Amino acid sequence: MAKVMAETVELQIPCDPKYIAVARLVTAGVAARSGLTIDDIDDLKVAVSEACTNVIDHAFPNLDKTKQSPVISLRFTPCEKGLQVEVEDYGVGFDPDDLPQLEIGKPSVNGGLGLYLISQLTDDVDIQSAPDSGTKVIMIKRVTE
Amino acid sequence: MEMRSCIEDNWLMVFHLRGEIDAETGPDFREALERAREEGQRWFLIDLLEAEYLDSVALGILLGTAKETSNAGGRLAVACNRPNLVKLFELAGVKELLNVQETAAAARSLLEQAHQAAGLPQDGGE
Repeated sequence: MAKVMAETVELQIPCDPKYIAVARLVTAGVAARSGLTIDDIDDLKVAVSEACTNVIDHAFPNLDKTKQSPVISLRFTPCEKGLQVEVEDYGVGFDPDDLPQLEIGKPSVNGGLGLYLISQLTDDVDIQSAPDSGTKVIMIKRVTE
Repeated sequence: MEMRSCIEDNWLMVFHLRGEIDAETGPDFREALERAREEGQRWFLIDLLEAEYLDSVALGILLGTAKETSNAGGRLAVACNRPNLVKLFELAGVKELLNVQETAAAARSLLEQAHQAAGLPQDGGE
């Protein structure tokens, strides 16, 4: 990952679809202060939303809302020539080797499209996950030269 | 997200969506489309000219509806001209499949041609 500077913004949202728009607002605000263009910011908003949607859809498959209130942690750190965003959950995790491979032109209604869009809309993406150990998606969006 | 829908000329169902279509708001859109299909609608114009944001949730809903309507002998077309949204249709490789057009008139014209090709009247019921 790129060299990290000391201006980190952290946000924690409930694992609930109604807070994804809040994550997008914060993404846009921080990204605008990192020198990203409007087009870059639009890309990053989608990438962050996709990461949050994946947490909501997959991280807590047997969620009992009366007993658990899981959260999604987001960390925004300016880095050399851009912004690094980490989206982390403490859910079931998975083996990254098991991720579906999406074939473009043969779209799938379910699954895979979110991660594919993240990979296309950011400059660098790293997925750290293991069964029962949560998941962290680390993405970097660089300033368009 | 704000959603309006109407049936034009007794065959074409038009949805106008404003604002953001994501995991929070998408389910309402999905339900409205499912209800319309259950009521027999199979020609859809999805007007996204005033939509500001969409992501894989919206793409999934549109793909599912396009497939179902096509199987039922109908068609779906999308009007969308915001570059950041059109880019997502292109990245996902679904711009042709979803008949994405820059104007509502172009989307409607595409649907009218398909409707006519199916031997159905342009100004009345089927």
